[in-house]
Amino acid sequence: MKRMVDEESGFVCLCMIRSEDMVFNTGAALLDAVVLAIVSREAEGTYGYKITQDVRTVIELSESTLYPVLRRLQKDECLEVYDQAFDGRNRRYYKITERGRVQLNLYRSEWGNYSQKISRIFEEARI
Amino acid sequence: MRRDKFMKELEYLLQDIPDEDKADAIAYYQDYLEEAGPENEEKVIQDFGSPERVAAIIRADIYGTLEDGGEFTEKGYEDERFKEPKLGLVRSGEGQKSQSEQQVKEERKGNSYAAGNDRQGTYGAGNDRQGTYGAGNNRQGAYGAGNNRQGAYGAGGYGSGIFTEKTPPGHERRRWEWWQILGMIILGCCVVPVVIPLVFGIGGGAVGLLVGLIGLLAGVLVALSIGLAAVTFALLLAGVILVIVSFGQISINLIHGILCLGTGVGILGLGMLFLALCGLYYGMFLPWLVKSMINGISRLIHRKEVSV
Repeated sequence: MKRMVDEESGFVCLCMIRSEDMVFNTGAALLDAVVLAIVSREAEGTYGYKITQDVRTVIELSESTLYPVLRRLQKDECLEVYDQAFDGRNRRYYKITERGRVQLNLYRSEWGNYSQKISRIFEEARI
Repeated sequence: MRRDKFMKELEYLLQDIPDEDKADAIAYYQDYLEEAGPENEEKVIQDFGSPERVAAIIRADIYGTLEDGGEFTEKGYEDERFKEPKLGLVRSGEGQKSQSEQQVKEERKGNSYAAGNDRQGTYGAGNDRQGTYGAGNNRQGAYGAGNNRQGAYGAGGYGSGIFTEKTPPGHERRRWEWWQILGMIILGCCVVPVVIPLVFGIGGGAVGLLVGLIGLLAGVLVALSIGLAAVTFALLLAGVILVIVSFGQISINLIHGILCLGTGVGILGLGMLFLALCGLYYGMFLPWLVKSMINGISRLIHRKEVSV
């Protein structure tokens, strides 16, 4: 049963989880981690639109959301930017920094612990 | 909204932020639309929401994170939070202000329970459409200690209920257990007669007519549901009784008996046919109907998938 969101609508409480529903919220830290991971895959860096589309393959996300995230990561020196001409205009590339990699590594191990614990609980669950 | 108009409005809305930040943000969104290409432009802009919303995202980020050490000073915090509610006030009334104030209060208490704030966040996001950017800070403190970005997260211009995991394609909707379906049918039967007259009384006029029609439909549906089961049961019962009786008859009058047996078997067959129809009706049609009804209602309530 889905509770939290459905409190708003009351009636829908009886409804089973639908596949198109947002079931688990993604926290900002996890989003940061996902973004860092995606950017880290490209040695030459990648750009905002592409990052957004890549994130959207795993997390439901509005097109406009990533700007503050990228900016913050940039400000925290986890990402660095450089501009390169593309198609007669500037395209801003984001590249992971050394510090970003350290952070990503931390996120990854934290996520490993966390997801493992959660998975174990679900495995032990009796349905 | 056309791209030029969108960017122009966004630029206008960002007049009050530092030039450098403004140029950066404008360049990002301009770039983004460029990358999306003309064929996706419309869709992307629609997904952006209003220029006000995008502006709020940009602004929340700047005011949130430019503070020393990513902490909110009381002043900066208030500035940002009360700015948006005012916008909401102008556009859509008192309710949102108090909601946002409540949100602020809650966060000031240092409430670090993310789930508790989630609902606020969701509401905030919902209000975005009207230009209120209440979603902001619900993440503050939700992430572990030792993470020096706590403040920065708090500042993040997005509410929760926003980034959510996509269910893998394999995990389609859960199968419905019979008791769930039964529960829904019973609920439907209970709720419909109560709710419909209620709404009818309040609404009247056109609404009344509409609701009346729905009521009629529901009535027909209920009658059909009960009727089908009753007919099936009656046919099966009659068939069985006739067959049993025919055995007795055969010993008394062979012709009568065989006639009776034949009729019984025929009716039994008809009953079986209805049973199959029942299976189709209760097993597939009703669940489908209820499901699409609920989907419709929830879509009506949520109207738009609101995400920042």
